[in-house]
Amino acid sequence: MSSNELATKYQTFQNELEGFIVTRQKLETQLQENKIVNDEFEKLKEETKVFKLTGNVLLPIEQDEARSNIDKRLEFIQTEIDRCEKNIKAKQAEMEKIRSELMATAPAPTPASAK
Amino acid sequence: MSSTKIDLSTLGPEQLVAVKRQFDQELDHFNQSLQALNIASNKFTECIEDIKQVSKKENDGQQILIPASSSLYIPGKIVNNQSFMVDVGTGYYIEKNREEAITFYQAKVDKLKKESIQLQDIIKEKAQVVLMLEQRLRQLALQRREEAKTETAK
Repeated sequence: MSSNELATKYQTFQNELEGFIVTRQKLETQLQENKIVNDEFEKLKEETKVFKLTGNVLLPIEQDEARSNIDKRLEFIQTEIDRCEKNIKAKQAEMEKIRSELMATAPAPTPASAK
Repeated sequence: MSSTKIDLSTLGPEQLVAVKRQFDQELDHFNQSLQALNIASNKFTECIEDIKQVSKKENDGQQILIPASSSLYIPGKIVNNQSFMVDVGTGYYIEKNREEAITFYQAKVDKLKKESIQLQDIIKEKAQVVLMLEQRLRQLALQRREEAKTETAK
């Protein structure tokens, strides 16, 4: 592969990596929000009523149901985060490989041109 | 957070500009976050005020207009002015009494305040680095001009 092709590939990978990172950040936000809700559920008194906003209406919901919903959601988000992290790591490894290939094909920039 | 220390004096002007640009971006980002934190904090403080207002003794049984949509209101009456529905996030609402609701929002405000102070410290630090970078850049520019002068003098 020519260094030009390598560079384009590197660029696309870079863009893909950025996409992954944005997803990862969004997931983190969701995780934190769900954690806060979970903490709040932990502190509930037995008789406290819990409601879920469905569309524009608040529907009463059993505490147990609400709890298990949040637990499930936390679990789901966590697996999504793990998946996303794996993607990021794989992409970074691929980029590292391309970088070293680029270094090998392109002559090292002379110090004078770097200035 | 990048914690690697780089000696600034070893960097050329182009690199310094690149580093400065990165710091400027980070500063922008942190300033935006700080603003968002303050907005959220203000919103929660407002909620506390609202609770205090509604739960006043004279406001029990008070007539109110309930928004059915953003432009349609239905006349109503406060039946119980000591009970509140608190949005705890992700669409879940919990019924709380006056005190519980206020504690809930106060905890949120306190947490946000703490985070905003941390953020301000980071911003201060970054701003200082940017200042340092600017100084170094000026220094380099001056140096370069001096060099050019001596060269033409030769």
